[in-house]
Amino acid sequence: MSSGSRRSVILAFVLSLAPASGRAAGFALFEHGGQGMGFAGAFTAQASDPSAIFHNPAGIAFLRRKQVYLGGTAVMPTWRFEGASPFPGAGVSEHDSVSVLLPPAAYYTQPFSPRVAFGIGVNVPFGLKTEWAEPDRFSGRYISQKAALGGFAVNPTVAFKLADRLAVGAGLDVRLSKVTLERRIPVINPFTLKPVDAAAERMEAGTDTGIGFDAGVLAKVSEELSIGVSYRHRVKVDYEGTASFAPISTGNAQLDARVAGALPAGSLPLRSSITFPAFASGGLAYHRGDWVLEADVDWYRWSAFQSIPVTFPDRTDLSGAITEDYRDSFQYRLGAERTLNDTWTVRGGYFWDETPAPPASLSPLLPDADRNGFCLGASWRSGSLSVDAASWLVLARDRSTAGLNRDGFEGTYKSRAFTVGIFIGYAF
Amino acid sequence: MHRVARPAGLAGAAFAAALWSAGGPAHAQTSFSTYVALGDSLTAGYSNGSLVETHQRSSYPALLARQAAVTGFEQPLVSDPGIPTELGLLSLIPPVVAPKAATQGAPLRLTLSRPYNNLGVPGATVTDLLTRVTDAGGFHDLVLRGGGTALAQGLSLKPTVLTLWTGNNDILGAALRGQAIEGVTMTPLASFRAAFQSVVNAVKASGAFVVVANVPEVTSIPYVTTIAPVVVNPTTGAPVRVNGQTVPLLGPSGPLPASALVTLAAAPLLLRGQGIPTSLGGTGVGLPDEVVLGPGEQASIHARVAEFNQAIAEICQGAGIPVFDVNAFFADLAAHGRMIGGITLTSAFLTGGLFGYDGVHPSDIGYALVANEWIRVIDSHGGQLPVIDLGPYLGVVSSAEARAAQAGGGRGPAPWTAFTAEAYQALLAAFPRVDGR
Repeated sequence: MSSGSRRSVILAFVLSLAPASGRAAGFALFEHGGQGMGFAGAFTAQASDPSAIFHNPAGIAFLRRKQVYLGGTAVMPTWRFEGASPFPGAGVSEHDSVSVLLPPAAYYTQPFSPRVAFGIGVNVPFGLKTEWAEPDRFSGRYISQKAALGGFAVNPTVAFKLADRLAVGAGLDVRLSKVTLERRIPVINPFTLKPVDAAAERMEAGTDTGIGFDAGVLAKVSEELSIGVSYRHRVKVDYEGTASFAPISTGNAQLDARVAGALPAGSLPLRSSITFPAFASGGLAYHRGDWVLEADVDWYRWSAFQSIPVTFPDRTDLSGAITEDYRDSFQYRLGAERTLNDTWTVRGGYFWDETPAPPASLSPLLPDADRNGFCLGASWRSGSLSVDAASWLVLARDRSTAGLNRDGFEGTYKSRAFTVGIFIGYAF
Repeated sequence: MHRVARPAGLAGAAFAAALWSAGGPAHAQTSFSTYVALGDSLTAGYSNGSLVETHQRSSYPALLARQAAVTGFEQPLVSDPGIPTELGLLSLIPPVVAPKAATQGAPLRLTLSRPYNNLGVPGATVTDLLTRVTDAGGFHDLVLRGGGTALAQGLSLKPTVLTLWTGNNDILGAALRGQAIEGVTMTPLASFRAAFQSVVNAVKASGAFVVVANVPEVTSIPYVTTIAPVVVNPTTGAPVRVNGQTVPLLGPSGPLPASALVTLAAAPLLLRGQGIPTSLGGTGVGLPDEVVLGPGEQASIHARVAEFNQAIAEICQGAGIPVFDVNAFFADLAAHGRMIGGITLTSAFLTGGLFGYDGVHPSDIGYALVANEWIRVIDSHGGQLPVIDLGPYLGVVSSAEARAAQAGGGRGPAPWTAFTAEAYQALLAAFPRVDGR
């Protein structure tokens, strides 16, 4: 029991790191503004609206007047899992339960002087929601039934124009984050020598805070060409929360008594931490006539995500750490814009997003894959008001555990996602 | 013990071939068209102290045959509740492992007019494979039916594939009886080597594709790892501490060292207070040597297993036969367990899932894991067997379904005997000493 419950508690907590489809590989989000989304996220070298606070803080130095930019994105992922031998076996097919993620974003920017600008942004740089259908009989329910990582970043930012065409910016990145996760705990029923659900485990932690920073440079080399570089530091969030274990009747009173005696009573305090990785982005934007083209390369330092400590101060026997072994990964983003008239602008783009997860870490907890993103967007402008909308179709490559999964849950994950974002901007 | 084995074995083969020449059509082009498994209880699918249909169907040979889509793979099936009567867990609090019924099962396939494909004979040693044709109504008679030795019958089927897993009973008795005695509970290395060489020569000459498994370390099975050599609180199972120190059980010559292994056969004695100091309410009488493996005995067993496996490796290498290192496989299970879909299976008695109620033989899931390791070895040598799906063996079903399945299982009141004397006697009868042949 002790080894099983240790594993179970640890595994449950890993849920906090599970990425869901529709977001960047790993569990990063990149839906932070309607224009940027239209460029498939390639916006570091433009950063021409208040979402620059995320994409490249130097960008706000070039924004005129006070501006607000508000919006959100509906992320609608679908997951399928096809089992493979030896477990859960060929023919086992699972899918997610329909869920929509709604990461909001809000930004405000204000020039202080011709050279200095200030801004503040609230957005969701990392997040997930993974919920498997029919959780009572999902074949991976001992690993994960449901996981959610919520929260947001508050990002006060200052930018300086070093020259007419050159600006730098920096910000403080305050992350507030919350984790909930649910799974089942199995025990071997000694009367049948087979596993049986013994308890429902729910872990909840947050809202806990971590602090980082970001910085960027934007150089408008010529009327046509601009170059942007930005960096966002890793943020370590230390969590305090509780784990609760609700016994499930196995149908045998003696076994139930044993299980009840072995489970921690009430809520068990827990501590952990998640290190959200640093990432850097570099881009080139080219303006010519009605056209803008931008190409970016983003680099996530996921190798910082090697293991997660899980500590139960009251039950150190259950404490442990989980190895994840992520690798650094790149994203390649390409977008184009054409201004049709004073009112309408249209955009399109494509991104390729490498998974940072090695096959051994691929599980209901961390079903990650390389992703292709196909993006369309449009803007409507009238005076000081603008509306930016964009939509992504994200197709993940089918990813097999290749018999390597650490939890012994083998199969192929297939996912896709559809996202729609709408943002409104106003300058006053 | 030292009978010259080969001539008898070959004569038996000729006899059986003549007797059953009509059976066992061999189609060499399909590698598994005729599959024969030779071995002992582990090959027979013995589980929970019993040879019984419900578990024989999960024997690794049956699983291999199923994965190879073999038709007509015959086993000496025994109806429920098995021979001897299958052990069950009658109560968890207190734990009582005892025969689950008062009756025995009966052989179902006695009239088959050819040898069984699964010729695993519970209790058989390597020498038995070569020479034994009867055992006065024991498992040899149940499996062999007077038709010659297991080896001879197997070869008479003209197998295209043959698996061989033998040698376990040349050492198991040392663990079951808590005594490592050369020539009594352990087969001497020289005779083991000679007999194994003879078996390998014969199966090699058959032309079949042969895979051999070696001998697992018998000191890592729950039968010897479950009972700690210290006094425990019978209600909680936690060690009793006096002045902060655990209290050693009493052995044949005083307090047991911390490295001593106490077998499940000690359970009924401990219940009567034997092995427990009078200061803690026991009788103060030491446990007999038969239920204790001291450090010296463990070392002897360990060394002998290593010697057997060295011999197996050398003999098979000489014959060009691949070896499944099942010893390493079980050692890994004992050390690390196995994580399957978030379920941790371990070698722990009752709660681990990998072993059945006799503490010696695997459960159905344990056998399925063993079968998948066979498949791994077979496939790495040109086989194409699909891996076995473990879902059905793990019974990963909803808790409601599990409850419904549970409702049928009856449990009667019983005294705390944990592993009952009856269970122990049944094991001893099924696994005679190596000198008793």
